[in-house]
Amino acid sequence: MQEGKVLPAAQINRDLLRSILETPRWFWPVVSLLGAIVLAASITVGIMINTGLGITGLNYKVVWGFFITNFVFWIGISHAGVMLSAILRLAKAEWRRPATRAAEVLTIFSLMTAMIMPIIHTGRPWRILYWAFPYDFARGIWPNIRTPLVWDPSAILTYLTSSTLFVIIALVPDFAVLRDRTTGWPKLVYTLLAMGWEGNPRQWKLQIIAGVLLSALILPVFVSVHSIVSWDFGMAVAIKSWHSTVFAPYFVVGAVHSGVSAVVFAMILLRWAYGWQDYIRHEHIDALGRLLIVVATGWFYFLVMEIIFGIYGLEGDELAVRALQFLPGDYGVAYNVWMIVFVGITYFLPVILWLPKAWRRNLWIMSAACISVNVGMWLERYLLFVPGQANKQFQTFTWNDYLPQWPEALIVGATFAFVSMLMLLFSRVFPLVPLYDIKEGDILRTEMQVGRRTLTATFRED
Amino acid sequence: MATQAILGLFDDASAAADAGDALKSAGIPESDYNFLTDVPYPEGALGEGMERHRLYVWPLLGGLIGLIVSLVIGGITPMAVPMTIAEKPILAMPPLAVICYTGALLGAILFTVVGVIMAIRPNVRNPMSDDRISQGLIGLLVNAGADQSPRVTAILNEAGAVDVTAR
Repeated sequence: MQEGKVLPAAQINRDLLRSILETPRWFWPVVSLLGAIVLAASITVGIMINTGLGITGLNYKVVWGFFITNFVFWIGISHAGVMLSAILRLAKAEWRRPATRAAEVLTIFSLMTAMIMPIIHTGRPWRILYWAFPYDFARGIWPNIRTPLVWDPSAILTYLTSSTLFVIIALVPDFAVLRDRTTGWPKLVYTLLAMGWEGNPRQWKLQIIAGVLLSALILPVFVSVHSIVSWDFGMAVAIKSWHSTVFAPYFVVGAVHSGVSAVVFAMILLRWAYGWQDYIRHEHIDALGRLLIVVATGWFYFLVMEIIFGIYGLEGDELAVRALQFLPGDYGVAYNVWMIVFVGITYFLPVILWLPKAWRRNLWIMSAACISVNVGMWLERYLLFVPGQANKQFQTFTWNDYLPQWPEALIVGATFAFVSMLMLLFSRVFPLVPLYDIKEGDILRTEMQVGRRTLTATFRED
Repeated sequence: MATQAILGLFDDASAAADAGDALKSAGIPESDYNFLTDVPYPEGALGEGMERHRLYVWPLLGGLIGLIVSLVIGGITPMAVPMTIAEKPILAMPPLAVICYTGALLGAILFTVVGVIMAIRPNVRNPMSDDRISQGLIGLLVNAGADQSPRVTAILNEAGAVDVTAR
């Protein structure tokens, strides 16, 4: 049964535009702190470019460490937007309404953050120009389109472009509300962004059809992006343990698992920070918790299959990597301990916390479960990529383990500050909960009597 | 003849729909009035006619163009610089399929957005707006000739408008 009460449109405007029309006292100190962390990381990147990647823990054997782990992690987070917005919009799920915008915006910022990682990781970022676009006609340097390292930027840029346009189209009616409630240069900016929106039936119809069309078009991009990211690894023939046939769906489901968890945590934070208790309600968090149980179990299935397929072939090199992952050995890093921690905090702990309805409605417990998932999913990527490279291989005469150094730790930590800062700055200028979506849900709601119970129902037009 | 925009504001969807019917009965063509709302009402809820559009053409066109461009880029690039790697073909179909898939979808999405913007017919300079519409009132905007204005104002008031203003 749907909860909450129908609110007048004026109150919805007042509540959801509060983050834009008023500045909370905590806002600028928090943004400044996050900005300082980002600045420190930017200086570190400068030092790293100047000095070389030698200041990191990367070495001859382990060339993909924290940065690439973080790249895959943020790409994963970006999958929340489409999962929640496009799929639930097409399915006309009522409880999607307060979550869609935050999820879409998180998609954009996490994609932007993810794209920074491989650029930093090259050590000489300007050389990336010779690797993708634009073509260097003058010197005849053309990209090799047969490598997934070219498919990857093309898929990610397509996803970023699509997600950004999706958010802009969905924001147009809200820009018009802001246009009518602001003065001076903000009014001028919102007027341009609103593109002459009046809210007539023709505009609404086109806006809704555009949402449906874009949702349907972004979904295949969403599936392809993390599949291609998995092929970055799957097509690296030299590294064992990266070639399971379930790699692509395993990555996609894992991305949804971490992404939706991140959105739930972000929604809880927004509810607390801006007092949106009437909009982000316990029923929404509860529904997302139920969805997460299914997603987590799907992800766990692929995790187990990936391991079983690895072992099933009984190839020596593959078994050596699996032994490195699961058995105590003479390596400096106890991957097997981390493996146990990762599976525990990514699946068993959160699913146990999500099973009882009362716990799904407890925001502290939900926050803890969602943070646990994301720490675990970060570890998952690390444990997927590093042991395969650190493994001693046939005809390899040097090998190394990987011990991340302070620049990597600082830069990776700062990416979380970067995304948080961008989300806060976005909430300062654009509504993070779609006004018209909430209002539409309210006008289609009614109460109906079924026997001795009065139920809240929402009418839906097919 | 000079026309005047008259905005009637209603606090009820049925009253706004009745006002639309009354205008129609008074001989004002449907193209001369429009409902303005802050929320998408189900089509026809305000008595307006069904809007026709050709938005579906845009993603198809964009997808086709994206596919052709991807085929050209993905096909010409390896042929222009033929690098033989591990005895794999220079023009390999799987990579070309990946590039074409992404390119076709990008084209479809870009063209959909262009199509929406063109179909919405942006009027950035002089959009009709009233903050009270964003607060839940339903606007009925009528473009009437100077001689019709008093009659339109009377119709809107009779239908239960909470406010009628000339713009």
